[in-house]
Amino acid sequence: MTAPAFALQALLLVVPLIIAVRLSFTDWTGLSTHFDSVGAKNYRKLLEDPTVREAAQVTALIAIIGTVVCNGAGLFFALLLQKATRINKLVRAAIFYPQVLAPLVIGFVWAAFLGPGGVVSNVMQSAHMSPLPFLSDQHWAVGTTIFVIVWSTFGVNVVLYLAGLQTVPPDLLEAARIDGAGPVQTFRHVVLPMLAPIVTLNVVLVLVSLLRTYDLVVSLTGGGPAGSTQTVAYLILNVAFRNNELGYGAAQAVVLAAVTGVLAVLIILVRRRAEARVEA
Amino acid sequence: MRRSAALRTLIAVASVSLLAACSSSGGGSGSNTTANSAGSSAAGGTSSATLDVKELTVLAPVTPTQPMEFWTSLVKPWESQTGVHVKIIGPASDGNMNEALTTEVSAGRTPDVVIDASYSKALQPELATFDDDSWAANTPMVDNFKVDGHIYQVNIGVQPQSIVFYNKKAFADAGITTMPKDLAEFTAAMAKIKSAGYLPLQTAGDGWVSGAQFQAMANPSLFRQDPHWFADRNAKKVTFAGSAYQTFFQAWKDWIANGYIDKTAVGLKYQAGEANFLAGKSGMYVMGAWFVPDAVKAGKASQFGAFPVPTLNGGSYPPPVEATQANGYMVLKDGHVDAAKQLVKYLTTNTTAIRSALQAGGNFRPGLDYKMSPLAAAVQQIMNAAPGFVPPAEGYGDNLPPDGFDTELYKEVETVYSSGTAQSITSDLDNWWNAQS
Repeated sequence: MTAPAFALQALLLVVPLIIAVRLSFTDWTGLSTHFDSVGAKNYRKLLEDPTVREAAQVTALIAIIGTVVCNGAGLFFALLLQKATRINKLVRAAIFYPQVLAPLVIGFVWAAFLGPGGVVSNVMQSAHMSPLPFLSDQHWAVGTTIFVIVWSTFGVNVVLYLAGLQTVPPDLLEAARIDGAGPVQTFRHVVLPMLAPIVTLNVVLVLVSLLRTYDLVVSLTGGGPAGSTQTVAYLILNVAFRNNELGYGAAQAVVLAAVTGVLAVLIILVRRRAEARVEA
Repeated sequence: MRRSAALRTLIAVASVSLLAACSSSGGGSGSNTTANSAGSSAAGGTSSATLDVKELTVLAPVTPTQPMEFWTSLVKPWESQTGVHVKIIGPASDGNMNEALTTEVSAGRTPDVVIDASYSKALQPELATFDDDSWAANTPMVDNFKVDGHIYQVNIGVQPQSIVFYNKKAFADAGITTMPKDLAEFTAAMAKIKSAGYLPLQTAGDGWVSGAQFQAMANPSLFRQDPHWFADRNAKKVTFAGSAYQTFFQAWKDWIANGYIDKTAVGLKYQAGEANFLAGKSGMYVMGAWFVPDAVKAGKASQFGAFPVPTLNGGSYPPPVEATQANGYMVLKDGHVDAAKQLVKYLTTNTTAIRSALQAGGNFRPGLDYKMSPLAAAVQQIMNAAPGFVPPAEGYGDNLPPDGFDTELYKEVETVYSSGTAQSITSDLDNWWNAQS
């Protein structure tokens, strides 16, 4: 029964990965029908390339802060919107709405809001305030990028946490209440442990997604100013293709895939231990 | 190593999909060129070679000014004369022709002709030359684009990029009657424009605008000092430190400090920056000739004039024009080379086809006029008066920097708006260049 799924998975994931690993040891330009093996040259270059190092730092920052904030905000809003009132349903839809928009569109819209001469800057000026350099200062631009990513991502976390909250047995909550537990204690000792598998899922999903951030960077900042918001995925697609360094790009893609995979597995292992402790 | 076509295609598609796994950008359209024996006379004037091909594929820059309809109508007369169908395909993503070509070739869909891709060492082995085609020697900028004496690219026209467009009302309000010729005069004009209530120089970010504007201002002076500057930088005979770049970086830094350039402009999109200038909010705008069709389309071309970029103080004026090809054609040697060359010959030598392409793209060809706006005529005048052409940051011909130099330069220019100094930036550029060799 699992054979077709396995075959599809192999075709779409394993085979390209194997080929990418092979290409990462070559000087393939993408334009040539010939390529030669260059050993580990691409990997050595990758370790020495300051642009890759900077992009890795930006990516790590986005992934770490984004994962923490998306999950924190996701859980907070899920708890807030748990009751199915009319207003809550409306707010849930509003929070989830960015998920149905293309990241490219989201980037352009926020650039129009936050860019120099944009909506926010005009409002601030009309209030006799100095506009803030949301997209024109290197540090601000990183912060703005993370904010927009979180805004556009955490809706799915809210939905998943809401689904998780539905699975918490009401009799457990009632028992905690009878035992004298307050809301914070109930959340900490009853709700959160019950949500453990959902937390694992959310953390892995967000982390993996943020490590591959590309589209939104293209439309929001174009990687700038001064390359300050270039992520690894942006670098692979924009620089490797533009400079006809597909062998080098493949090396970057392989490392990114490996780091993503290792982190995902590590998180799952750590979370499983935590879940096992709760179950015990 | 040699790969079979099928395996190569599989490898290419699979690896491209892995590289693109994080994006939503798609691939381009496919090519299905087929050869048959239906020969016909070639158009283009002189050749009567038999074309044993049914279809040619052309990867063209499909843009708002040269949309798909433009390209199909451009090749239609040649199709009628030869019976060869020309299939036009456009870039799949953001319009970068090199990326589009890489995508097509790596996916096993090599086109016969590519328009406006940049020559690179990686691309060279895949290109046919026009060395034996006498007509190619008369195409614009052919000598600029020669590599080791070989012609890999022929152009319809020239796209000047180092033009200062100015707001006539802002200049009148500022009392400027003579166009500034060097950096000192340019800076003085900026001060007057600012006093008149305008932003003196319109810039933007978007990953490229400020960088493109900087090189448009600096490259004419850089290459006037040494016409082979990039080649000499490759040979380590020159450095960015102490070059014209350092002077222009310092000037740019001073302009930002004095409020002549908006210090937040790097957060501005290209379209927003241009909209500001078109709305009359700023006094000057350094941009390529493609601004002309934009101004005409906005119905505001008459509000603007044009003059050449300033030189270093004391430099002779006018400087050379930083320019690149307007619709440069390259023929891929894995395709139908003879038929492709006949098509290229028609497009680059047939006067009707040339005029049509120049007019649509707002470009120019020395010695060939077409019905143009006064603003376009001003740009043509600048080009005609210039002592020559110099390359942009991506270079061309034998003046070829390492791959990625334009991206690196654009990135460094954006640091001028924050902590970067003229000295640190030129030093960074030298270090980057040295690391590529």
